[in-house]
Amino acid sequence: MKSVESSEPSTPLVSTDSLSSPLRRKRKKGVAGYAVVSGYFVLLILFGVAPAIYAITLAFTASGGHFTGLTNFIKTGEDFRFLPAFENVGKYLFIWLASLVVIVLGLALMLHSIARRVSAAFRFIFYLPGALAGAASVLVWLFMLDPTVSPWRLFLGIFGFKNLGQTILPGHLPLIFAIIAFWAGAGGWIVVTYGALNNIPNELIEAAQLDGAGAIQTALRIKLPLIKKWIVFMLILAFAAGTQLFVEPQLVGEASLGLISPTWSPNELAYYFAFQDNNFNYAAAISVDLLVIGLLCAAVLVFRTKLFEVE
Amino acid sequence: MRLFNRIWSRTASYIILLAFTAFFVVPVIWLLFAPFKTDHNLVFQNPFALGSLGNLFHAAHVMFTFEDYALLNWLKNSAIYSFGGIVIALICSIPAGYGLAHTQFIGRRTLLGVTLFVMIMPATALVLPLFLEANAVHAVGTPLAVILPFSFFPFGVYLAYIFYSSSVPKDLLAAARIDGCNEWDVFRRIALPLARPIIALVTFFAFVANWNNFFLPFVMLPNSTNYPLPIGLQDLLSATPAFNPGQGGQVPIYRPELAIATIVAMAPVMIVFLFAQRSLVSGLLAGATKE
Amino acid sequence: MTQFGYTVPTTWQGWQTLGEEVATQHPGYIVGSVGDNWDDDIYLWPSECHVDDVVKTDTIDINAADPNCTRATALIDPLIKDGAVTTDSVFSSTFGTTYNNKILMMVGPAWYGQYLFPGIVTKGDLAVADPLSWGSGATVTGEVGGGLWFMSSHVTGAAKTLTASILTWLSTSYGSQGISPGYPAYVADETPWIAGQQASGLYSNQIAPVFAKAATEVWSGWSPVPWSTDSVFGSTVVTGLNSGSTMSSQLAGFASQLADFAQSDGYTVVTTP
Repeated sequence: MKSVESSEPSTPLVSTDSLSSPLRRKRKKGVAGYAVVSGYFVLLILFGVAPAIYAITLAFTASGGHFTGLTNFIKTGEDFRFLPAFENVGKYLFIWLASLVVIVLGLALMLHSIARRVSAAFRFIFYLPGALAGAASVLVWLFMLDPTVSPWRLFLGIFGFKNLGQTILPGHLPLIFAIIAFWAGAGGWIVVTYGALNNIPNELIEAAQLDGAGAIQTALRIKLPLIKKWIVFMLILAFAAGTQLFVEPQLVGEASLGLISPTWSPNELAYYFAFQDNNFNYAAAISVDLLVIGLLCAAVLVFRTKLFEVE
Repeated sequence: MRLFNRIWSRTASYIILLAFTAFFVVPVIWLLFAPFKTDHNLVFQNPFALGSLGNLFHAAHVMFTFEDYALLNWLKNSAIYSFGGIVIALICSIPAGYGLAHTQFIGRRTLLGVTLFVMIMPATALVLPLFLEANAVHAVGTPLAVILPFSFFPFGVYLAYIFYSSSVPKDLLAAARIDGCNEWDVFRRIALPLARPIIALVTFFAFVANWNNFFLPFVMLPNSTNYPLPIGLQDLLSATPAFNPGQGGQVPIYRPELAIATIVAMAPVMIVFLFAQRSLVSGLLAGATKE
Repeated sequence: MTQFGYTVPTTWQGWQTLGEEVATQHPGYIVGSVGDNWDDDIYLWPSECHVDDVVKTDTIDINAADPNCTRATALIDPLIKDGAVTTDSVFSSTFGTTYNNKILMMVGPAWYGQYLFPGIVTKGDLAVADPLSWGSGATVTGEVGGGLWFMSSHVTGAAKTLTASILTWLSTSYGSQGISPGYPAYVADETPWIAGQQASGLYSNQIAPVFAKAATEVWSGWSPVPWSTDSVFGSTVVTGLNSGSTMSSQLAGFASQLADFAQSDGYTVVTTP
């Protein structure tokens, strides 16, 4: 475990699997191995694999249980709420990921170039709103966006917003959700990026400075390329999580006097099919769509970047 | 000229950092001060004006006694679900991490790969499938429908795996075996006592994830006496005349009361943040530490 | 009204003329509000606008081009432009302070009386009048709110009797109806409810004849459906108004989304000219 304060590169992970141990020993070890992973294995099957398989089964069948091929996927895909929901989330993701690349990296680079004590304080402050992730962050931002009580009311006034209904117009929502996601989540990513920057050997940076590179040059030419993997890691995880948006539109919708569609995001649409229309097969089809997106993201991270230790 | 440039860029950095500090902190400060004012004050006073203790006591009294101490009940539910999930997650993930790092068995690599996959995949993606599954076995509405899915925490397994494979040398375990320990003793006497830091880390991440989880309890628990805090907050939001006057004319919950409920919801996580600052930061990095 | 020398309009056209006069002579005063989900019930329903008319089982008539719809929006749009009709929701937290004693008249449901006006209108300054007509044809009105009580078919045994009796109590007894600001659907509760309202001192005129008559005039062309016409109105027309558009230009979008909902719930959508 390395601390963010250390500037040492992380120790390489030890991998001393020996192939030469006697067969008998190996078999005995095998039993022990099964024993220690068994609890987790059961949970994995029950709450990871089984629901996914069950959802896939439902997605390919009708309510009577007979196989219907891709019908549910086609029907939900043609639904008038399907494309708008993905469009909404697409816009949100675009803003959120762009802000991660530009602002999070920018702030992390700035923090990396100032005194460590000061930067530690900033990092902690930036990370703090993470405690309000989820429903609490949405509530706080409903206050922030309501021009009648917001501490930013002057700012909102400049844009001509006089009441909450005007601030949370449907067209503004992707930006608003990106701001909420940024507020509650950017701090964590700043900490991670800062940690990655800390792992860059000092000699490299010093060498660049000796060659006459300025602060910005060093940041762009030396530091950023060296933490490229982390940037990809951050973007894929944020993308995967962002496609699942649910609590934000749900709560803002709750506070909008019904002005915001209850099927704003794909997950809300799946929820709507399951609970309003009692159509579990349609709900399962959208869940499988989202599951596939999540799996693809995971596959890219695991197979294309070599970020994760599997041996 | 160089010097001038450096001073200029440094000043610019600080201005930007301070601007973002305001962005991150002002909402939290506003939230903490809101209960000291009346709803009317919040609308008509300067947003940073100080309120009074009397207002705080009044709002707190209204909020806590509301609907027969519903807020405290939600708090209790949140605690039960979060810690129930954590306990099972720890019992299963610490041995599993050890097993993946230090034992040999058929399917080990597959298990590790699958763990990685489900860890990266957002947990929300499985919520509706989990609901459909729980519905099929008639478990919807029971606390276990939330606690058991919470206890499946692949990130914890991965953290434990990384910890054991990087910080506990194989030689140490081999030496114990030579000394006559059987496999169970090796785990219980050597590996488990070493696991203290990783237990803290897994607990922290599982706690934050469980405590703030909205979607899973939202679909699993239709009955308001079973709500955890986030769902309770949504319930208040849909009933309060401050945001939804159309529905909730009679509910005495206004912005100061809502702010109190929000503070109650975030306080445990905030406290953990303050105390676990260091280990948390290292844990954030440990998610992917192969350089 | 008297103070400004106006008379209470009896027709929608008269309402618009009044609104135009108010806008020029007494800016700041309002004669109505279109700012939330339920204003379709207040303006489109009484205009007999065909967007929610289940003509036979699983067939619904939705027609945004219906002149009955456009006549209402054509009337309201200029008033919104002038400011005589506000787009602030009557439910917004600042409505009371913004329009404190600035409401010349409002078109709305009976429950505005006890629910909305206390605190905005001085006690005794409020009077009620018959619903507006369109000049020709019978005067009809809309209906905002109300609902149905359901008992699940899973309720059995002793619980079934108890549930039935509480539902009866909720829907008929004056004990529950009397404390609601909403007009009671159960006829026997009407008279005591009106008496209670009158006794509150909010109203300066006799409300009984007006309310009792209006209660019988709800147009039957808006049907209960499995989706919410109101929230579609909110997410199309009201959000359109909030971003500076007009009601007339939002009608098509409103109707097409209603049709989407109807189709996805298995209805056949027809458009009766």
